[in-house]
Amino acid sequence: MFMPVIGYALVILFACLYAVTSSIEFGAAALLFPKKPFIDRQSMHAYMTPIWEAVNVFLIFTVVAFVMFFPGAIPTVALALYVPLSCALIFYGLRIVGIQGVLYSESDNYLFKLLFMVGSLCGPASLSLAYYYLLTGMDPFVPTLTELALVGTVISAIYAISSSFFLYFIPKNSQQLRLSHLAVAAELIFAASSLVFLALIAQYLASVFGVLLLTIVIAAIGLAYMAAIHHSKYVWGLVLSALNAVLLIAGIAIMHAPYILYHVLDIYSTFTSVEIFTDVLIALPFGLLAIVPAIYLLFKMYAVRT
Amino acid sequence: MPIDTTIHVLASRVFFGDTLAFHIFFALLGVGLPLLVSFFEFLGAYFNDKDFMAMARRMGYAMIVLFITGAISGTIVSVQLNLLFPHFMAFANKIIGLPFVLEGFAFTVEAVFLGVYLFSWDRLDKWTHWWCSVPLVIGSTGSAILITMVNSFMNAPQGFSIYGDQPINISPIAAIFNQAFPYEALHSIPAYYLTATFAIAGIMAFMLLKASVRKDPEKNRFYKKILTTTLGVAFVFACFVGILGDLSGKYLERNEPLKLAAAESIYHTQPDAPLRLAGYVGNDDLHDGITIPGGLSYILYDGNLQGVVRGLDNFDPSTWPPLFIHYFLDLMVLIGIFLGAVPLLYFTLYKYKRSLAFSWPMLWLVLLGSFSAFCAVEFGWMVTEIGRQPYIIHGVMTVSQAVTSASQVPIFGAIFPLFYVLLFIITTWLLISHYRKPMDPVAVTHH
Repeated sequence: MFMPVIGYALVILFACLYAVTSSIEFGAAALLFPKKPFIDRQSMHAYMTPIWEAVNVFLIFTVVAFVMFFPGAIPTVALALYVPLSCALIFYGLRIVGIQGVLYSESDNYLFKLLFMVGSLCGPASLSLAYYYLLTGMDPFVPTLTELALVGTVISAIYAISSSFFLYFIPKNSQQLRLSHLAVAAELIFAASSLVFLALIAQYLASVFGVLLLTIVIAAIGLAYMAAIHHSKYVWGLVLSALNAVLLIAGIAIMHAPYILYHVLDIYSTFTSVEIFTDVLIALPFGLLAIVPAIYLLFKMYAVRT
Repeated sequence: MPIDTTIHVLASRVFFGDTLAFHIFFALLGVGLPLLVSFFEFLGAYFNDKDFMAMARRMGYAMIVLFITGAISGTIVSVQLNLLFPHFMAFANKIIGLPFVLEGFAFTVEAVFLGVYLFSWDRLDKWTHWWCSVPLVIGSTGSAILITMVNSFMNAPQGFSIYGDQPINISPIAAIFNQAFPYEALHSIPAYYLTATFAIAGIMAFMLLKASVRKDPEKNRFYKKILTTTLGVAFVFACFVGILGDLSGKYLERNEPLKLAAAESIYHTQPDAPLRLAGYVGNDDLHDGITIPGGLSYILYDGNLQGVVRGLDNFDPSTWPPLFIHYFLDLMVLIGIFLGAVPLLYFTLYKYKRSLAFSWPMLWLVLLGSFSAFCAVEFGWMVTEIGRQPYIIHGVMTVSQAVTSASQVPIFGAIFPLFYVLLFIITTWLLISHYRKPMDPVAVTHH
């Protein structure tokens, strides 16, 4: 049956889009936080608004696509992941409080920056625990090296993508050198932790060859990234850091198929009704007809503004 | 230790109820404000009026701050719906999943055009800029309509059969366009518009009560103009909401008679059914209330006192919803009448004794209307949601069948309201801090 595969592919696509676009804003929280920040607040405001509100829709699409295409998975997943997902919601909420204070108030209040940073790091960390459970079927509250490697991968990817974004879009940043050092360090940590993570979860994935290939590609892209940053080719840095994150997410998802929850739930047994799937596929092009021109208009306006 | 199911179900209900109540407060502003902003900008562009244009521009900050708050609370609602009621979502998504997807599209259009609209004031000519508000209105209203589709399905499920515990013979279109949908949508959406309009009117009234504003001729003129405009719009919406409220009541008698019987405190099936207001709801009857003989039959059957209204005795008592929804219905209707009466009084005074239209008692009535409009929307949702209990899908699935067995629900049920309070305080502080600053005058460009 190809229908569950299409549904699974759409969930992965939305997850990748969300991971890359949201990393910019998640990482910005940490870049802004230190006493000597890597970027200034005004620059962050100029380059993040108004697009950051729009990219958060990819999270909604990921969640909606998952629960709609695979509703049979909801009871088991919701029960097992009640705590990490509820914690993620709280952290996301605290992040929003921080964003409101940082972007939409006149004050440079440290508390807002703290909430923004805590929410932006702990939210993805909570989601990482949830993802760990789906990948391995293991209790997410028993700390393992695999979990630590996953959290390290996620956080470092956020830093790498966000740093690359601001390196490119704020060329006259007074902290350019520090930011580029941070970007390189983040990508190094990402490469190292993702390779450790891949090695530890290989037993849960369908193809050892695929794991090896993914490992080599991630390492190669990591090296290319460092070269790009060293030579101030920041647009390439942004593309490569995003590409590395996407390849990791998509690669693991493909090799983990057909499982949603390892050895317990798969995409076939949890799939929705044929009628809903068909209606959604019909509605999808019409929805894209509305969204794609709108996003193009927004980014065009954003480019003019910046 | 085994989980106490009763406490468990109650905790999930209360937790989700808190979340919905908080979300509705901000979501309705997210639906209503774009329409008002678009309306003001249209008036400003059409009449070359700098006041309306300035008002539209000034409301932009509120739109984005409230959108952000509504977005995070909406995300919490959608995730918690899956976490708290997973068996419901596993069942219902196979039938009514399409509106969730479409709502994602509508939300995206709204989010994108919110950005386009707010950041293109000085880049586009007045009419092109106004046209950017149209998708924003469509997106925000569309989101509300699509979520109402799902809720109406819960009240009037159709478009499927059941085999074992699984839905079969599924027709998503029939499920979406169920019998409750037109009444819920046409009653609730204008109610959101009405509330947002009254919110703006209330702010205008508040400003006019300030001595510093009354002493400034220019500010005085501006706020009076906007107040008059918003109350005119509010009156139109109040009439529409009232008419659709009447039709909704008639729909309930035909299709959800148990909910109506509980809300109207009709304990016995009867013709010439009385309209019963206030009082004390007991298990056997409403005590010490105001009774208008034949009133309910008269309303539901367009003057025919012989129209039979089904009472609670017509239904198994184990399926009765909590009978205290009677109070919420009474309050909602009372506020609805008040929201129609306030603009009527205002315009009567405006025509015959203008000074009284801007007197402090009238302005306080507008302020009271502003606050009570939010309460009316919350009460209305309580009637429809609590009135469906014990079912989550009427006649198909009860809340206790749908609910999670996660033991941490009460803990998070206590934590999340604290977060909502924090978010409310921060949002309010942001808005007050911003709007304390004086307005910039806006020149209307001619293209």
